[in-house]
Amino acid sequence: MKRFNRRQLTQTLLTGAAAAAAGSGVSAQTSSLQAPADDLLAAAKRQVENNRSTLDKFPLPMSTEPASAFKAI
Amino acid sequence: MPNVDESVFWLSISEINAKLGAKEFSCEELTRAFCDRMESLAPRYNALAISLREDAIKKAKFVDWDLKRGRQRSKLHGVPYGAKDLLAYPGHPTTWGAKPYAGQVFDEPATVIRKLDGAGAVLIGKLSMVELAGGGGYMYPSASLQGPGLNPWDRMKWSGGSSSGSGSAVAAGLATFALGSETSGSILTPAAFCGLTGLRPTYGLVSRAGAMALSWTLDKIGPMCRSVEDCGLVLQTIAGKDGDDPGSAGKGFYYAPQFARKFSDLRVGYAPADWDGGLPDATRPALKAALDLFKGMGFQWKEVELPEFPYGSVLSMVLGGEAGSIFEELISSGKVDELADKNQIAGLKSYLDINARDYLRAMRVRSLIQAAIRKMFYDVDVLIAPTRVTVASGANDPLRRVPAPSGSPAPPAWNAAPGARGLREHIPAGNLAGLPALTMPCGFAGELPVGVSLISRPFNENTLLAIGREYQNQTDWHKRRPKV
Repeated sequence: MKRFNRRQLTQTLLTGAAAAAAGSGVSAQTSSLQAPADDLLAAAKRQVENNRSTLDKFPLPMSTEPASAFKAI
Repeated sequence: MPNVDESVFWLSISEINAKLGAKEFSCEELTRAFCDRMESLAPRYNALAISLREDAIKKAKFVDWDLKRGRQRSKLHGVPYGAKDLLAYPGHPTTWGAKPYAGQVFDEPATVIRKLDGAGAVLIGKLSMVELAGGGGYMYPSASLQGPGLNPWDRMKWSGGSSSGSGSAVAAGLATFALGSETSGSILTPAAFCGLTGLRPTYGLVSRAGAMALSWTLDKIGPMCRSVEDCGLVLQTIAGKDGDDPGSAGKGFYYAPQFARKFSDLRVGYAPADWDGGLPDATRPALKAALDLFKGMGFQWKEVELPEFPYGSVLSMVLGGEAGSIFEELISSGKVDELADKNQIAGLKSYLDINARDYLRAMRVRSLIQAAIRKMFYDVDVLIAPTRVTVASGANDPLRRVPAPSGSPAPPAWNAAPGARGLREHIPAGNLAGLPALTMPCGFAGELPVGVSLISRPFNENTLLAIGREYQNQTDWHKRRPKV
């Protein structure tokens, strides 16, 4: 992977910004409406915990192997 | 462009191919007209990541050279298309819709782009997308380097995600077809919201080499078109074995709906709970009319429901475990904070909490899901369900109330009767089991398109396409055009 030169990068970002501002009547960013980052991270971690506890409650026979398995090639 | 009029932007792949063959216009004229249209109109929908005009015109001249000598490489020869900006294309940025990757350039094209190039298709632009395909669980449609994907049917509405630009561009006639990708809903949702026909192929049928990885065991690449026929032609070109994709199934695909089984031999499964009473008033008429039309096609009908599993939790844990590993450097370096959507940032960071036990447990439950769904397909050949029960939401609206890290926004509330599972979780279930699905427009709720989905067992795309083709022979929803 190689990096893009500064001029091309500026052009790309300007294209995106212009597109977002092109009279759509829709704001490009709504991040100001979002909760503080710490609250969001805590909520996301709670979601992982909820998923973990849902899966822990699911009965799983010992013989069940994971859906993707190593293959010798 | 004297020979290229407005109607050309809405032609099917076969129609464009025929007109090029009849020399009604040259491929260069066609390509210039599409590039002009893409560059002037795509910003209205925030659909364009980068125009590839120069490369496209160069390619078009090669196509014209071929055509002059009577060479037709495929039905896609000379047909202009767009690709989601998670697919590598050399010499230009491949941004994955995300600021931390805005300057990223690859040396080699993605396998699907190379295959389309070999078939003579002309790539005119990279199309916008939700940043990192929404892998952290985004809250707002604005989670993209290009801003929120806007719907050609109503620019105050979202085009769906994460293949937002692919949805908008094809719906607005800016490209004849586009490539999208799906980890959980990212082809089906924007196709349904924008009134397109979209095909999520069987996992492993289409190579992901050169595509951004979000989840190695869930990612798929597929066509987003204006008809079933076009989906079949594109899939035939991009499918096939690829040693560069460890997930490749090693199978090819030949579009031959005429050889699908007789409709009277096909068993179609549906869940009455999906259609009776549980649908919102706005979308019910279109969806029920679609079901009635399918019921007149002579299939054997069976009532079914998805086996009972915690699909959402399994999908979130699998996706989170894989995405956390894939984007570990982005997350650990702090560059993740440059993403546009704070929920995405939080979701990605939380993935580092997923440990090997969590991931393996989810993958073991996934094995049970796969086995149960395989068993369900002993009794039916195809499932039918609403793609999404609601139409596109507002482009500024939050996509859910509670952050739920996953590859796609949580589905809107579905007021099905308590205990009636139906097929309403077909998107996470189908993605976990690697099933192919075809969504088609089936009417409108107000000004906005509504989509219906057919789902089948792995590698049964031709059956889906045969049924879809017959549906589109009997309806004209796929021919409706937004005012662009």
